[in-house]
Amino acid sequence: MKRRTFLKCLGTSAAAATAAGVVFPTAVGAQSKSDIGACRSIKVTVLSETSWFNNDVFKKDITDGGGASTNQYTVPWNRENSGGYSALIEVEALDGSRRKFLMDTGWNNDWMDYVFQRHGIDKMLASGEIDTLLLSHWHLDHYWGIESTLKHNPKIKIIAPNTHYPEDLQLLKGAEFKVAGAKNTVPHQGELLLVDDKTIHAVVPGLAIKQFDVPILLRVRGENVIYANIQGKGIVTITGCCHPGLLTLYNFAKRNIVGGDQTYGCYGGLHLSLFENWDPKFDDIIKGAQSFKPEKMGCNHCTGWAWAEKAAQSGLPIVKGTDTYKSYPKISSVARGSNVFLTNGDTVIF
Amino acid sequence: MNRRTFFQAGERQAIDAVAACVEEVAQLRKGLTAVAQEVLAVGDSVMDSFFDSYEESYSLTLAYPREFFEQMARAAGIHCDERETLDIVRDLYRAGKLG
Repeated sequence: MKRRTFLKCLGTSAAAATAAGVVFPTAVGAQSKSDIGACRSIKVTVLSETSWFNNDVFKKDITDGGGASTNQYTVPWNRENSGGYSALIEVEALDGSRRKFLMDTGWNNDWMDYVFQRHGIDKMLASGEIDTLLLSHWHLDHYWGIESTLKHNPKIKIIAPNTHYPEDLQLLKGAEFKVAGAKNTVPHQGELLLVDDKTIHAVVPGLAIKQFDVPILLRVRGENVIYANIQGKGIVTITGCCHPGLLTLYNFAKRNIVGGDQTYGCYGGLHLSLFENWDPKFDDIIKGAQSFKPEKMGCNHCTGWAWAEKAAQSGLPIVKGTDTYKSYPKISSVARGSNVFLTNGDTVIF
Repeated sequence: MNRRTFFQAGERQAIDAVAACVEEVAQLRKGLTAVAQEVLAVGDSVMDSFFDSYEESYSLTLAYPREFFEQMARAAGIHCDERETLDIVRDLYRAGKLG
């Protein structure tokens, strides 16, 4: 712990601490929990959850590219199949003021340029209304669209996991990886805050980030998870892919965050039936999630429609999406009429 | 200032100084507790129990097709036949083939 952080932790209230953007030590094994403060509400807009449009093409790219442990920067990805994952997070503080954050920046720059223009993200970035990018992890479909963000504000603050590889930072500084089709011509000039897995990083009162250093395929590891504490309602997890697993995240909150006993919900990819595969053990995950009694679950992306449909049938409070996604120029080949995904253009309020 | 006032003022200063000292010690103690918590947290990791079960590791072991792991295992010389995916992935992790 840095001396400054150490001193800030002394006798400061959670609100003051979060306002200062300090870190709380993870209280695992200790007696106290971290107080991340509270907010009044969180609104999430799904800018794009279609990282790729055809599962078979994506799987083939991985297999033909050398397998799932291959460095993602060396795989010749099918560009036509790439989209991206990104969401707008609006935090309403207890005093009614609002802050906007961009979570992830997608993959294909053409796709992300369209998405950002459609939702006015380009203008919010340029004006500084959005001044922070919360990067969940360094996977191509969450990060390689970085130019689409930086072209509007190269000085944007970025909060990311500290589990990066050299290529990740090269891309951030401006680089091209021709084989993989990753390119950024706008060097990042702002603050890059790398979060380790030992602390809980407070962003604003009621919103904090915890990094979980878990193994991920395509030579990526570690994911930053957003924990939100909605006053009077409970904890919400906001994830890019939820590589650590939803039950692990809820358990962590229970043990380490003040108010973590009360689970309110989740938003994001939950990393279950990613390729619409089904394993009977997924039923246990549904039961596990039920035991936390969530009230609102907004899921998409790597959750898999198969799991989301089964979860909804089993009584989990899956928030239904709309048909807005059909007005986007491309549609996922696995989208179904059940609308169990919050998909492109949908919103959810916690 | 007469002699009595002089001593009263000095006493107050002394008391204030002692109070400040006590407060400083209390804060230092709190700080040490925070540091101790962090030290304790260093040993804790999701990975300590990640491969104990599918419930812990499903986001990795069940989310991808088994053939992904078999391809990786073959390349790493890890045996796959009649083995649980969980065991194969654990071996891949231990062999440094994940992340």
